[in-house]
Amino acid sequence: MRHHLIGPVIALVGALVFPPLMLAQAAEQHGEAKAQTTATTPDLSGLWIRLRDPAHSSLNLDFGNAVSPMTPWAEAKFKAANSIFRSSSPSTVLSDPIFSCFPPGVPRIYLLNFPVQIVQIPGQVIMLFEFDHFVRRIYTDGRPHDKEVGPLWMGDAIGKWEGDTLVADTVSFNDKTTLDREGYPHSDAMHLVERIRRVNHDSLEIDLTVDDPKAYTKPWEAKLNFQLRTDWKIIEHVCEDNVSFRGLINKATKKPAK
Amino acid sequence: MKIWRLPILAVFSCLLFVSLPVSAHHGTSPYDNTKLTTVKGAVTDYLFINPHVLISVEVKNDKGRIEKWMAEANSPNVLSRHGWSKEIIKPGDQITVIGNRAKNGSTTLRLQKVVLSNGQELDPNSLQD
Repeated sequence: MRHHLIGPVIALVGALVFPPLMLAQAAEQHGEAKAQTTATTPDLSGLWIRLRDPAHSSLNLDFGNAVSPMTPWAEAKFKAANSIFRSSSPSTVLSDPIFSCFPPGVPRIYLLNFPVQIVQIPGQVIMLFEFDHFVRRIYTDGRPHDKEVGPLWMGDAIGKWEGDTLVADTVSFNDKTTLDREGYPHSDAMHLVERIRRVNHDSLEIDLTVDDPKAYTKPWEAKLNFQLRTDWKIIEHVCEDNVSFRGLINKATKKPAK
Repeated sequence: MKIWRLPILAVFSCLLFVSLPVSAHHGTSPYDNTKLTTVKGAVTDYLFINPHVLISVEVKNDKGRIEKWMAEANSPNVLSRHGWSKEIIKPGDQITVIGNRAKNGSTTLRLQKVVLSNGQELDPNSLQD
């Protein structure tokens, strides 16, 4: 009888003792892998705010002269969008789709004067934008573009590391967003490449290339510079607040009666 | 009009609407970025709200009439990072507001600077989207 019990007892003890040991071993291996990833992957994390460059004032809020000549299709779109920005009525500016809570798209979201927090986890670089709390994921795990989704407001982004630089490749945009507040358009064929690099501990730069043959006669480039702000945090920003604001500004900016 | 009144009118005008040329690097917008307008008066409302902070001021014009002006600033998120708070301006405060006036002629400004009655200057730093 005793002999019959030895087997189950050993099995029970083994089941109780070894799984935790095996788990511990697996965790140790995972930790090693994680440490390896951390050691080899450049660190872009932090809370960043874009710097305005007085020497290149056109990049303060719009891409200005950076853009290549537009195609006739894009010219027509630009004219319509630009008339909103150039309106003489402050309330008309609120017709810009971003004030109706539509996503600003990329790269326009960088031009808004709100910080972005970059978080890295294995296989992903995540951008947490303060502006309406948009989240952008750049997958760095080697997957290809997802051909089953889109067109998308913020596009489908994948990335790879080239030395200290994250090369983000984004496609599958819709054509509903503009590249800046001036209204420079893009089409659903836009291919956006961003080279994102931490220049030093406190500085980050993004060199972007817009390749959109439907909208521009040739690809064009722009550089955006960011500063690390360890003393800031992401503050709540809710787009729906624009609704009440629209009423206030409409009332205040009525043309004076003649 | 009597000649002796002209200098007085000129001084009044300078006090109420001082127009200075500024860099127009933000491009065309509903506000006249080429000029600064200065108005001084009592705060009637201060809304520290998104997307833009709004300051309402009652200003006495050169005819002694009260005009209602409104200054539009940046987001409270942005302003709070440059020393502003929702308590820093209160209704009744006498303030000077400097900004770009709306092109449509309304008594609305895109804020460039506020000077509080104690002389403290509040700079919205940047006037962006």
